[in-house]
Amino acid sequence: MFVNWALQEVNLKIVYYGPGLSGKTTNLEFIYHKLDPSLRGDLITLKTREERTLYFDFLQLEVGRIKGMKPKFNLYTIPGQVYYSYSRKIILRGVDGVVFVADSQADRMTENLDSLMDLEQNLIENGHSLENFPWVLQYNKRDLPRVIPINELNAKLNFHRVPVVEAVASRGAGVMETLKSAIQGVVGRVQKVI
Amino acid sequence: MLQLAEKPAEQFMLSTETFNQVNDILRDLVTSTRSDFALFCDANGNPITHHGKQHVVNLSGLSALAAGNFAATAEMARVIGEKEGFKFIFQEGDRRNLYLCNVGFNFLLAIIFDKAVALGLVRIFANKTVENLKGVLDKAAQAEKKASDFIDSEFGLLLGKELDKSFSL
Repeated sequence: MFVNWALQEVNLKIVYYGPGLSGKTTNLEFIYHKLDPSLRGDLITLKTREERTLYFDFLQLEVGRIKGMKPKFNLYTIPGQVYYSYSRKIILRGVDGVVFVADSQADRMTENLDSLMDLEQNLIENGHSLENFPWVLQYNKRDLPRVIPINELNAKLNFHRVPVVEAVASRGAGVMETLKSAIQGVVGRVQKVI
Repeated sequence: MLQLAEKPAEQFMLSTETFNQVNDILRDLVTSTRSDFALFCDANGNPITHHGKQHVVNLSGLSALAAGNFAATAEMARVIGEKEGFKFIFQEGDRRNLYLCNVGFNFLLAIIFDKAVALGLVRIFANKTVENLKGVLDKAAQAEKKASDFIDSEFGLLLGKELDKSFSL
């Protein structure tokens, strides 16, 4: 969090985490197209030639003044592929909240779990843990065949009972609800901790 | 105190007084070097303040990219055995150049300048600017107010309404 009293701005950082191809960039792309241009900046994407996220995607959005302060939300995605581990550590610096985008397909559970463990490890290195940090789970790709039932996903991934949103990010379903839930989690933690 | 060195800070509070002092230092830098633009941001990618021809730059985007770039470059330094990291990053364009350096552990300074301006001149003034910024930030007390002074349950409620309005849920 960065509070600039001179400009009366409060900057909060939310990172979209999850395995490769789970739909993190798709979430940001939908938010970008959905929001009024006056409320958001440009969508910056650093992609490989194969259209995979190389470093991060970035989108800033803001809402109207609240109690005299202007909240600004900096949304980042991480590169999901296992070998971009250091990029993920860098992007998590100063993070205020996380959206974990899980792939609901049955054959992707191992990748979901590996990525969640990677998130936990990186949060610990930043002085946090999944237990005491605001994060939400998005079960994405619910429209595909052979998806894992929600109760099974909860049993495997939601051991801290965080908010869950079902989504089809490619159609925008659940995307804004996920973001709102993450923002509310961040604000709730600020009230409690800081 | 603003945490200038050693480790990443979770929360920064910048007072109006410090903000104004930083602004003055950036203005002097841009004037002395005839640069187009100078940006001061934190190492997490949040823009703090700037001076110069703002219209040429997407501030939030430049800050995010500068922070990412600097962090990646610091890791490159570590990989080749440079424990203290590189002192600056310089990118040369056809018309404009970019000079990027860190100010302590938690802040960055980006300078955009015309090709006609000598890199050596920018380097000299950038070094001086970094020292001046460190001086201001070292002396700066944290803003007296805390985030919890305004982020209360009413703030959460009002934010929820604003988000509903913005997102048209």
